[in-house]
Amino acid sequence: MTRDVPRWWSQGARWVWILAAVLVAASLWMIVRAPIERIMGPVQKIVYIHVPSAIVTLLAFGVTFAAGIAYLATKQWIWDAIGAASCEVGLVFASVVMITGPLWARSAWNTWWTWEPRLTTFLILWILYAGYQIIRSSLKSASKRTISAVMGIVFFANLPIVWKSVEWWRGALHPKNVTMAPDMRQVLLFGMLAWFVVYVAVFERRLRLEWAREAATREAHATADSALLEARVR
Amino acid sequence: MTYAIIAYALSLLLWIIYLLALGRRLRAAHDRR
Repeated sequence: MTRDVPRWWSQGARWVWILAAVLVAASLWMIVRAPIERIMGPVQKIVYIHVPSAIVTLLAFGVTFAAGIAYLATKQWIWDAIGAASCEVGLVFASVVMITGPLWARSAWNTWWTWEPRLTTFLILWILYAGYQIIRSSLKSASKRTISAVMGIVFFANLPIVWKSVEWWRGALHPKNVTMAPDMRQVLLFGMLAWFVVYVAVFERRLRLEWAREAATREAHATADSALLEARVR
Repeated sequence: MTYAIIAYALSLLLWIIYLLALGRRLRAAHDRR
């Protein structure tokens, strides 16, 4: 295992990055050209980054959940790496949701923040996964991977709550379902595609980091083993 | 309009900062002895 990923991986990743850049540029262009909503005005365009980021967040944490189960079942390091990488990228998407949300709320609801069901549950989600990063980075022991996998599985329980919060509790300001004009819906769906490809591209980059770290650790172990062997021979 | 521009600008800025930091971490992992 070398610190560089296999050739097929790095070559494939290049195309994913090019695709991601083209799609995001096209998405931004479509957002600029999208019709202006009658009541809210241009501020409504925040939805084209807010909603795709929220959907990708849930997807990313879903990957962490699945990878957590796979790691506990197989104990293979790659599943731990996939879970950790997806969790970190998911947290960036969640942060985008947390940045764009209040700016929307200020215009739509005349407040930066309100303890509305989806806002509250999403904030809890953000704190949980931020906690995942802090706890994981503070662990050095062999149990690091197991603890991360368990966190990835347990924290996932909050996702259906976020999803269903607007149906379960009264006072929801987020709509249960939205009817959009076809040309607006098209922009939104394209945004989802673009940010999904960004997720794949960044996830790949983050996974490389885990790969390089694993390779470095194995190199260090191999060096220590050979030094020990040499000392015994003498 | 202003809020929409701020929302997009901050989001893109966050991504740029994260990707730059990730690049640095990758280089550091490659150079680690």
